Amino acid sequence: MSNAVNNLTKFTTLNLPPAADFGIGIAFNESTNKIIGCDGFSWFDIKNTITDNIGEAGSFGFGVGVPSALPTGFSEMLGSTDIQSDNYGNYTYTDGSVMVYIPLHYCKYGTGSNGLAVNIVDIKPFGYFFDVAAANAAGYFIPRAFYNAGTVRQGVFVDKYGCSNNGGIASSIKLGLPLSSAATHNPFSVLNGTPANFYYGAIAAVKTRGSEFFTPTAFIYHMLAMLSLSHGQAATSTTECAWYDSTGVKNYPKGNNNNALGDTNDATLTFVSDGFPNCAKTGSANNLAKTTHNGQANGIADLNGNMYEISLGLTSQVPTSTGTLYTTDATGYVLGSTSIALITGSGTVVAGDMVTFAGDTNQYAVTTGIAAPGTIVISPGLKVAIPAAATAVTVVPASFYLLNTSVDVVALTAGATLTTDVWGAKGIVTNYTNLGATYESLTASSSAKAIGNAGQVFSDAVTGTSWAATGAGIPLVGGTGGTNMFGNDILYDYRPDLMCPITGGNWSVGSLAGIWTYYLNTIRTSSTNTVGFRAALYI
Amino acid sequence: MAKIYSYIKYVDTQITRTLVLPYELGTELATIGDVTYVSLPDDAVLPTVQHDEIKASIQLVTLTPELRTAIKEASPHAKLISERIIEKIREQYTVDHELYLARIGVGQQQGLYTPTAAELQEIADFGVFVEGIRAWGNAERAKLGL
Repeated sequence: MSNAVNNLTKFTTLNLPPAADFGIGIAFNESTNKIIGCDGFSWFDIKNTITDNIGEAGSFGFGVGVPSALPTGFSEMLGSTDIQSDNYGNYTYTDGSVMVYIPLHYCKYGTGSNGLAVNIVDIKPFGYFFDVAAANAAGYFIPRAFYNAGTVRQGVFVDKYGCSNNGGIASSIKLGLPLSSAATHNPFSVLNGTPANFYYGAIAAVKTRGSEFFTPTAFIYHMLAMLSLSHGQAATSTTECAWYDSTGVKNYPKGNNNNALGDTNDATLTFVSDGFPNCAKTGSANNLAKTTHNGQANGIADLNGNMYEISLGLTSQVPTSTGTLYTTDATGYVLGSTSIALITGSGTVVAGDMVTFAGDTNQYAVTTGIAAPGTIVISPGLKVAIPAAATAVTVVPASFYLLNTSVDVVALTAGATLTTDVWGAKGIVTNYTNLGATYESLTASSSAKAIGNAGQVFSDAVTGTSWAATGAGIPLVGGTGGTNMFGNDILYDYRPDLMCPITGGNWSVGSLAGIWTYYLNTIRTSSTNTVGFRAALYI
Repeated sequence: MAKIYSYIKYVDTQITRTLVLPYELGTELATIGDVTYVSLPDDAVLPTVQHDEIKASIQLVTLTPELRTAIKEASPHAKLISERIIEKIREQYTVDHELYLARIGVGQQQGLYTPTAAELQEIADFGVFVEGIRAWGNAERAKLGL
C-alpha cells in the first residue's frame, strides 16, 4: 500500500460517508486500485474501484482501466473491476466481442534533460494534474489517440483480439479465425454487407458491429506501443509483465511471427493454427500475457505479428499533374470561388490532385482539371481571396498527411472522392495536415528503417505537429538505426499514392514484427492475406 | 531447393543485429550454439547491405547430413512440418486404424497371418496415402533447404 494520495481531484467526487471521520486515515491502494480508509484500528474499502485510472507502469492493472460508465451495449465480465483479474478492464459488447478499455492519461517522453532519461516514458493518470496546461508545463501530454472530433475523449475501447467473422459481424473473439483483406484467407467479404477485400474494406467491416465503431488509427496503435514501452521500462519481474526481460534485450510483447506458430524471440511461445499456413487463431498463445501490450492477460493481444492490421491517420498522395508555371488571370477571386482561370504555364493540372495559390497556405482539391491554360474547378471554395493580379498556382507535390484532431474518425468513409473520405484530394484537404514531402524519419527512401536509437527516438513535444507525429509513431530523423528497446521493429519508409499503413507485422516476418512496426508501402486498394484489422470505440 | 545462410547474431544490451533479408522472404530456421541458420528461396538474393557487426560471419551453407539433422531437430519449422504430417494422416486414419493395418502387415511378414484381398488393398491404399503425405512433407522441407 502506498501512502501517496496522488489523485486529489478524484476525491472530491467520491461522496464519502459524512459520519466517517477519516482524518489522516485515507489512502490509495495501488495494488488493488481502491481507495481505503482507516478508523484508527483497521483499513477498509471506501470506494471499490478507481475509474479511469491507467495505473502505475510496472504494476498490475497498468495500461487498462475501468470506465466510470459503460456505453450502451457493453457488459462487465467476471473480474472487469478487479485489478488482479485476467478480465480487469475487459468488457463484452452485444456481439460477444471482448474489448479492452484504455483510459485517458498523460505521457512524458524522456529527452535526457527534461527530468527523464532519454527514451524513458512516464505515464500518469489523467487526474494527476490539475489541468492540461499544468501537465504540459511539466512536460506531459495527452496522447494524440484521445483526440477526436475536436474533443478530448474520456477513453477508448480497443478490440482485445483481431476481428473474425461472427455470423456476419466482425467480432473480437478469442480463438477466432482472423479476417483478411484477401479472398484466399477468411475474407472481409463474408461479413454482412460484403465489405470489399481491400484495405479500405476494413472501414465498412468494423461497422458490421455498429456505426460507432471505427478502424483504429495509428495514434491508437502507437499509444498502446508507448504504454508497452513504459511498462517494460518500469517492470521488475514477469509477474506484472509476462514478456519482461531484465536484460533489456527482448523486453517487449511477443507474438506469432516465426512462420512456425511461434515467436522468433521466445521459443516457449506457441500458437494454434487457423488452418491457413502458419497464421494463428486470435488470442491463441499458450501464454496470452506474453502477447499483450501490458504483459498481463487483461491486455490487448496479438499486436506483434500474426496479422498486420490496417490503421488510419497517416496517408500520402502523389500527384500526376505535369503543370508548371501556371498563374491565375488578373480578374481576382472572392472568398468561396471555385472556378479559377489559369492563363500562363503549361502541362496538366489533373482532377484529383491538389493545388495551392501564392499567399494562401490552404490546399485545394482539383475537381476539374486542364491540359493547357484554362479554368480549373477546385474544392472547397477559396478560403483566402485571390487579388486582381496574376497569382502563382502550384501543384502540391507528393506529400505525407496526418489526420487533424478536429476530424471525427467514426464518420470517415472509405472512398477517395468525398470530403469525408480517408483518401483522395477532397478528403485530404478537408481532414489532414500536410507534413511535407519528407518529415523527420519519413523521407520516402523506399527502405526499411529499424526503429530506435541511442539518441532521442520520438519528439517530446506536448502540442503541435511534432506531438501529433509522435502520436502516429513517426520517429525523429535521428530516431532510427534499431535498438532492443524498440524491439528492432521496422518503419517501412515509403510514400505511395493513397497510402494505407499497416502495423505490427505478420506471422512470417520474424524479428521485423513488433508493436512499433509500421509499414507504409501499402495503399487503399491493397489486398493481402496477411492483413486484417481490429475495431475501436471512443467514449 | 532453398539455400541456407549461417551467421552469428550480434546482441548487446542496446542493439541486436540480425541478417537483413528481402521483405517477407527468408526464414530463420534455428540457432545452434552461436550460429543462426536462415533459409532463403533459391531465386531470392541476399541483400548486399548487411550490418557491420555480423557481416564477417555470413556464409552460404553446404549442408552435411549431420548439419541437416541438427537443424531439423532444432528448427520449429521442421517440427511443425512433422506435426502436420501426423495431422494429415490422422485426418484419414486414427492411431487404432493404423495399428490395425500394422498388425496385419507384421502378421503377414512373419507368416502368422494371411491377409484377405480387401485387407491387402487397404494396406496398399494406406501406403499410397502416407507416401503422398510424406512427399508433401519432403517438399515443404525442401522449401526450407532441408
